[in-house]
Amino acid sequence: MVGSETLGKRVLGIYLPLAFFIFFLLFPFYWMSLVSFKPTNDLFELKYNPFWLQTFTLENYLYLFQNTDFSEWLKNTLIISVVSTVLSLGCSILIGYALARLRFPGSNFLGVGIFLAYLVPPTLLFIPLSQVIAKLNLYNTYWALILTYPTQLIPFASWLLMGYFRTIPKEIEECAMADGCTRMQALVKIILPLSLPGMISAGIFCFTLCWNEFLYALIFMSSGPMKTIPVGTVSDLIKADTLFWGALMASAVLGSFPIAFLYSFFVKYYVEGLTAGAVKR
Amino acid sequence: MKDKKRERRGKISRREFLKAGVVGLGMAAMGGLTEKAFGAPAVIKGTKLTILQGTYFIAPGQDLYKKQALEWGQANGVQVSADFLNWPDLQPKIAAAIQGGGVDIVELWPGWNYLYEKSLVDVTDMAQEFGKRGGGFEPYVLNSAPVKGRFLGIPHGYNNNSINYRISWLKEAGCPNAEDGNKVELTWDQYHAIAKKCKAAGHPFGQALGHSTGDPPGFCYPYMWAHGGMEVSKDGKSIQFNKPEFVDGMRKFIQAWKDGYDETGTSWDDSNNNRAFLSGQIASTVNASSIYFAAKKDKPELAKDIHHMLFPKGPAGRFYWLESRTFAILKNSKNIAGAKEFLKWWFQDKQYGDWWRIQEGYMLQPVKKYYNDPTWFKDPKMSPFREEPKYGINQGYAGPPNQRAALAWSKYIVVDTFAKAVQSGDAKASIEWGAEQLKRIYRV
Repeated sequence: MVGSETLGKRVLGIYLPLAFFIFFLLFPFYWMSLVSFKPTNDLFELKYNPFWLQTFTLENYLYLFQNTDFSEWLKNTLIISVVSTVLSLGCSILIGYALARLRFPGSNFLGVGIFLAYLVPPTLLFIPLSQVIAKLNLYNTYWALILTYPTQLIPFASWLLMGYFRTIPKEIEECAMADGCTRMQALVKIILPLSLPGMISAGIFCFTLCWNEFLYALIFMSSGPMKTIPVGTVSDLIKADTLFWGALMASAVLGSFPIAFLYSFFVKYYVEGLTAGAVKR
Repeated sequence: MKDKKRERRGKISRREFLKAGVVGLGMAAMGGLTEKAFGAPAVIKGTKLTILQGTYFIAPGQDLYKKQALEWGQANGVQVSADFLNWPDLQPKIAAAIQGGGVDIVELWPGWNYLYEKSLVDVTDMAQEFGKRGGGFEPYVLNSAPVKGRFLGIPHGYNNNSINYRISWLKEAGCPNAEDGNKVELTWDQYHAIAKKCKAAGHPFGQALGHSTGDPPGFCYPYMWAHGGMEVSKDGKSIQFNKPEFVDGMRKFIQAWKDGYDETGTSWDDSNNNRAFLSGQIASTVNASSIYFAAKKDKPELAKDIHHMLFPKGPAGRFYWLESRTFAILKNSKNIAGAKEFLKWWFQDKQYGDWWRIQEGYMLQPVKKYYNDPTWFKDPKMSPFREEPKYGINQGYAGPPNQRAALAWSKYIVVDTFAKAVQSGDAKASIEWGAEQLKRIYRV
């Protein structure tokens, strides 16, 4: 079917499913943006077409910046996501490399152990972690999240990078070491530049997870303006059974923009990184 | 020589004694003044106090609470932080605070006093003082707040919840006295007959039956009680759910659901009926007065056509699911003294009264004194809520509102029984299912 020359077959086999898929994926973003530009009154007016704008307004965005600490939430989310991602990526490179290349007793067991750590859900971990955060006196500080997010990020990123490192022929590294590089130099100068797609992929994964994380951010850092976007949005824009739909959607639009921006630049590497090692070469 | 004389006279001269006396009296007087002006002992100076509670629908209420807390903190040299969370997020945060600390005062919802019994400071004396000053607690508070006779939190009321309706549409459907909700007196059968007429005219009634903390249980529990059903008997053990009179009541509801309700309500949460009402889709729904307040702000014309009425009566009477929220102090707080001083101060008539009144009837009175408060008469559309506390009973009624009642509530067993009934059309099988679930919880 794919690649068929007949127009009808191409429409049925490619364009129609693709159009449906695009509609399915993009509709929530369209709806989000649409509601964020509608005045509150229009949202409850059935005589208007709900899929189009009757009146354009920026009042929801203004509400967000004037009546909430949105700019603080944005700053907090950005700082925590960037630092956690860099920290996790640094650790994951070393772990992934060690598991892929070094042979030491218990390496397989360690690899499986790290992967199993990823399977422990945050809903089980948050109570013991809250005791650790309290003992370290880190409540309501950036460090509370910067130190807890890697518990979820490192296992996955390590496995992803381990798979990627295994796709790079050992011989390249061995040549470098024969020419006088230490193992660390071989890693930094040879392996890492070759692993860029894998690192970008792991980095985007880590960043997205940090950006959207809710439970730890709610428990460890949600006092005053020290909130992240996901926590601030639901705690300040949902009042009992009343939702500030316009401002909620404005926050969702602004909150998803950095992730969409990031993906748009690195999507090629992201796919390459995720699929590396999927087939034997 | 002088020293020797002093030693003989008990080491202090008359002059020194007088001097010390004057200084002492002066300090005592100053202390009294300090106590009066700042209301708290100096021992809490320099401490921190963190308060955690749910967000307010009435924003001025939240702002006032924050202002009061900060003012008290400034006057007493205490660094106060008041945090407000979305309702469903409150419990995990409290659970973490009980394990890890970091929070001093928490707002507890019905049943939580039982759940966290071992982690809360006994504040019976403070609660009783507040109740006594207010002319006694309302019965719904006494049913729900004390745990085995002790107050582990000071009750501050509960948000209102009753029937919100469109005056014109109910009038058209023949509802007597529809223009004044204070005078509407219906049975559930009459209410559903009106629903049928309204739906035929294109304005069905709306009821949320999804998993949501407010409106679904707010409707299902009272309807069950009004038709003779209950989770357990007074001993807290014998399941009284599968009763013939409740099965009859459920059959009527199944029919009414088809005839008079918007049938998508099985997937509605607390916010869906607000949206449906404000957009003119439904004529009546069980909700807090938040719909009316939202309409007053954004749709004043619609607000003119809204009124509230008390729940209709069933064969067993009129009931509301009503339990008090409380402000409690965590045992692992590093500032229990400060927390007690703050609550003692905040529950004084001035602070509490200002906070209660600014919410314009959204918060029901925990003590009898506020039943006659002018707040209830400013807007006649809010007056019906004033009567609500009279009919309030707790989850797990006729047993105590303990951990098991809280578990049954959090698993939405009663709500799911209603949802299953309207989906399957089989009242008996749905109630049998609910009774089986309750047996597991109450281990009968």
